[in-house]
Amino acid sequence: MTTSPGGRAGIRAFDEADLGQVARIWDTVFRPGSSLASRDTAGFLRRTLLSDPWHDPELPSLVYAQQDGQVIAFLGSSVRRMRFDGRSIRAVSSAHFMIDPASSVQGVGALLLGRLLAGPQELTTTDTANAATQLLWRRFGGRPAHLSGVGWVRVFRPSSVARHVLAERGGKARWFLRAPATPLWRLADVVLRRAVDLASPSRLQGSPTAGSTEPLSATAAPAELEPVWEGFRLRPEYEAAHFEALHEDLSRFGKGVPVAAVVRRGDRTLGAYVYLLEPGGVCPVLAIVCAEGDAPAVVSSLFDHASSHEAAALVGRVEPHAQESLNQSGAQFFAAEVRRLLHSRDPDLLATIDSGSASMTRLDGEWW
Amino acid sequence: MIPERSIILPKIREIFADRLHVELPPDGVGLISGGFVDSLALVELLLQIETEFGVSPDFEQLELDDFESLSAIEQLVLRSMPADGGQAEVESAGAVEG
Repeated sequence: MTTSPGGRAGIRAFDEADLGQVARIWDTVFRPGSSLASRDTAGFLRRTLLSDPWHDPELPSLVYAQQDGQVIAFLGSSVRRMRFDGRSIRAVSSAHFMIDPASSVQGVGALLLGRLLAGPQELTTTDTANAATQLLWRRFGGRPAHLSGVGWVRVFRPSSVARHVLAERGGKARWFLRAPATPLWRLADVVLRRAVDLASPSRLQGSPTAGSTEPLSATAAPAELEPVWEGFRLRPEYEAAHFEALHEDLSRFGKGVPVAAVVRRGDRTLGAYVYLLEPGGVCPVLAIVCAEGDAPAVVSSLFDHASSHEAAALVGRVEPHAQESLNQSGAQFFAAEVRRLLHSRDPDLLATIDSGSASMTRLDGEWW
Repeated sequence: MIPERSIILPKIREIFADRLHVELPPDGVGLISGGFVDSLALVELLLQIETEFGVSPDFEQLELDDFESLSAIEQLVLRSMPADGGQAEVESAGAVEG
């Protein structure tokens, strides 16, 4: 059980030659509950960890390989460039932390995570840690981001949501679900939707101040979002190539059609949003980028778009600047299953995230 | 100057008994390969080493073999000492426990 590169057991950087083995473990560990549309696991890992525009050889994903070359553990490192108080920093979104269930070697997870967290990045995050991983993170000094444990859902078609949930559970209910277009279902949605709308304060008070909404192109995104991001101490530092890569990844691997839109009033950009649209489905919101004062218009535009494009519901994670607007617009809040975990040697960086002065969305981490 | 082994080993045994609550295996059975130390215990062990000996092992250099036996852990502590051998910290750690 000696360790080091060059034909001996140990930790080394993940590379192209490992894809097959890592994909096999991923399919064993994560595929059953995966939200990925594609089954091309190797292609997904290659694209998001090896050939994405953020790839940084100083911050590689890590594998633990045995002496015979067999990979038994993996920890993904998805790098993001960010800007903190005007200076560029590197953040790592840690993902796909897995040990081959067939392996009995103990302690590998601690070495992998310890190696990753000791890297030169200023910030490390993870969005999908299970209970065991959360414990490990906490022992290494990681901690949850405030509010990241709160999710929200906005229902537009209650009966569709019910069918969606039943369909996920499967079983004998399936026959009941094969009549999605019947007048009975539509009538149920009209009645239930009216009940939901009546419970929404914004519907009683009138819609928030409207803005004009247009598709957000990757080319235009950096310039469009710069004035919005300027209001945050910590924010992404993306170029057009980064947005293009994200859009391509979402289109190829996401469950649903990616919708990216910018909301303006006159010449001023109020904000933007990104979500995955699946008509009749519960659609994940990946980003709401805006200042708190402009959130009503951005959230309103998001909800109008989703509702008019047959989304049954939107679901997302609370971002501090949009919380009040989500509440006013009829979103319901719930305790999320997993929280975003943070690790940094800079306490000011962590305090900035906790204070709501950071623009960090699911696109800046594990969007899948 | 290399610290006395007699100071480090008893402290490591104590960490296993009092902090990790791990019963040590018989001679010849590895802590890692025998399944006595999992990832959580390993992280706790590292934290205790940092607390008791004032050293932070370099993760770039860490290997599972460093935790396979008490003597391997002792070697890890020794090689993690600063250039002066960390004599002061080790003596201090021994003194606390009497």
